Amino acid sequence: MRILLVGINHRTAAIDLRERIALAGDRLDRVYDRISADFPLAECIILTTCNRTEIYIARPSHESPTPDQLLALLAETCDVPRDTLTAASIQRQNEQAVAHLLRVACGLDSMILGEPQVLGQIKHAYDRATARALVGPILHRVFQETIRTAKRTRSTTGIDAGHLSIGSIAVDFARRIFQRFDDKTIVGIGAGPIAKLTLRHLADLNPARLWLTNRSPDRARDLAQQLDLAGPNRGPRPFEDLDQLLTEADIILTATAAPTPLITADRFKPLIRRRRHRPLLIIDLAVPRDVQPAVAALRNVFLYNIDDLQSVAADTNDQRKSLADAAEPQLLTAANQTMAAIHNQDIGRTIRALRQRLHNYADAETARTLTKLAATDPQSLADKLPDALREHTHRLINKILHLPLSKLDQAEQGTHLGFYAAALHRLFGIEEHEQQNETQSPDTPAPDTAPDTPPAPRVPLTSPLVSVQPSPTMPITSRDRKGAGSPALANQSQHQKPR
Amino acid sequence: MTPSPANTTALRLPVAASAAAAIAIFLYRAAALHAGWQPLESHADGLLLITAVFALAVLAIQHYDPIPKLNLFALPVLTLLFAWAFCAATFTFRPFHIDSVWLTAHLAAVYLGSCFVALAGVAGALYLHARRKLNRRADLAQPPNLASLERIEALLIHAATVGFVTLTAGLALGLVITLNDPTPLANRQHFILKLTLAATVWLFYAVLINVRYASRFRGPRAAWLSIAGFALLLATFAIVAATPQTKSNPTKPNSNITQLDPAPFSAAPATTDRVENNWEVPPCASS
Repeated sequence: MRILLVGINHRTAAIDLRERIALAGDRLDRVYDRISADFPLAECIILTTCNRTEIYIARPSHESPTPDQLLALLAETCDVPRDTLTAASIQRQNEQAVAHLLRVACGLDSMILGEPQVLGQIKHAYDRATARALVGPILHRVFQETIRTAKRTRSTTGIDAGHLSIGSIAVDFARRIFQRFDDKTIVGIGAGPIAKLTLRHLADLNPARLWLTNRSPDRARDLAQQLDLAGPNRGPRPFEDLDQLLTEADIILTATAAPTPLITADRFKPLIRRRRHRPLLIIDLAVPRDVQPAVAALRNVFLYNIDDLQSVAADTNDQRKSLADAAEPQLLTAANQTMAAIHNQDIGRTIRALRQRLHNYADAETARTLTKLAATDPQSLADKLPDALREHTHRLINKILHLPLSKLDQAEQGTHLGFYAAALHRLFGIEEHEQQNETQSPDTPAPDTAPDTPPAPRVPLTSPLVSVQPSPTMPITSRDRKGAGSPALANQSQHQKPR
Repeated sequence: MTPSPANTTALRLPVAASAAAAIAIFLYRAAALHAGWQPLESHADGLLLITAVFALAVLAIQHYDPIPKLNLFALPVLTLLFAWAFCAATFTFRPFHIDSVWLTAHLAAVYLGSCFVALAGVAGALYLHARRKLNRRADLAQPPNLASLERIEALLIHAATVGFVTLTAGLALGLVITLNDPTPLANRQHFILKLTLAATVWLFYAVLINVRYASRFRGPRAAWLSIAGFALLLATFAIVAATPQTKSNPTKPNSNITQLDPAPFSAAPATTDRVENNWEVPPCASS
């Protein structure tokens, strides 16, 4: 089996191309339908997020689709020039493909290192493809192992610990000071985009009261609407209420464009008594700062500015990078183990199928020989039995060897026949002296390649590889070659997609 | 880094071991000494009781609503209590003259109160540690490895409240005992010092439990008060241990005890000579 990965992501393609390739809704269904129809032997999962569109395929080694076929399909579906797509694409196979998927699942390939959402998106893609019956035993194993490994890696390395966005860092700070928020008051000062983003995170804490204030009341109202702040304890308040808001607040987020500090120590000191010395968290995201640094020196006031938050984000990113580097070897090991398990699974299935096919050959030949012997005169049975057994054995050997050797005979240009010869030597334990005996036999043509000669590009029909000759007394019929004596044999050559 | 489950378990183990050891030694003393052994008849017993209850309280908190690092901050206190219990049993052993229910109740209340005062002190230290980290912006990029200040403050107030209630009961009982003591106060300077310290501790904790109203003491001041209260209580115990023999501390009348083992950590019996004329004054009252 072979695992293929073809796709684009934020490392290889700019956002305009990613937008054009993004597979969602009907377009995703169309691609799935095309792959299902055109490549019935292939298992397929398409991972599509804002940062990547990646197609994972598992198929028999010498079957379709190839990466080029997949890129052509994508280009056609998304109406993108093939060359553009090819230039921006990533293509991986087997261990490399699995390792890439593991890196994606662990967030090591994400724009925000270690972000956890991608694991959910992988699960979603897996479920969606499973529902469409496009996932077989190989991709089942790969994706289940990936999800398991990613969870384990995340928990052991702590790659997703810490916060990178200003909003989530602000929430983290709030949680370090306050235990509960259903009795707390959050006040937002300013109505700019930073205030909006951060307040959105803080609003998720479900505080008892959430007030907004701004010099321009209209902008405060707009922001309240955008944040969906409705109800008796949340919404805009007049800027003139600032002192009252400073008294009520437990958390203050300020991000205005004021040129001078809004909250000075002189302004805040008289309020401390009215606040009954309650702890206050102030997050000042404004530049220039809205809160005088001297306020931080007041008791029970915790003041953080934009530099503090950005420093936390930078530290977190550095930590994650070092953790990611440490996690890479684990992921490579996991990818190799997964592929080894797949190969084992594959070889087991192949051996079972081969065994079944040989039994079918044997059963068919046994039935034929018995029928023939039954028609024989009992008086002469003893005389004819050795010939019948020889014929039976010859026919069986020929049937077994016919298909692989004829496949070799029909091998395409560039096929490494030397590899197959070595494999046959090794698999059947053919010793050197046996080969020499065969070579010396006057009935057998000499091999056309020396032992150390590189593989021949093409083998003619008279190649010694196709040296199995029918018995002189019982030539093989075309019916025999196809295994048509047993309907089951004909079916054996049909690959069935395991699902 | 966030304390991993393995770390949490590793830190719980010594706390659990301390609780088990304290209980085991307490029971050993009860079983191995003599038939007339009474609970809390010596300072060593009381310290063992404090150790056991304190460790169990920490384990209960960590089981129901864990506070990161509480185990770590509790371990030094447990070590101190154990060491003191060892010293009190080995070097400064003096059994109390327990001759009334009042005294037993007084001792039990004081020891139980001390246990929760110790817990409040630990919470205070934890609060100051967490606050210092926040102010110094230390490890802000790391996941929080401490409980929120609000949570630690809640623990501090709750522990202080229980400690205050039991200490109040202990002090009141001590006053009752004192009122019945005919010895003039002027002859009992150690007792006055002890009483002053105990009253100060009581006052500290009275402020602590009303910190919502006395809001000036909120935050780090409350934490310092809890630590200072615990330290003063330890000083009170030290004074009790150092109190010289007085007439108001008579030898136990029924001193037919022949094997009063001063060392709870060994089975070696003490001599009766050592026990006699060396009765210990209870923490908050003179006998």
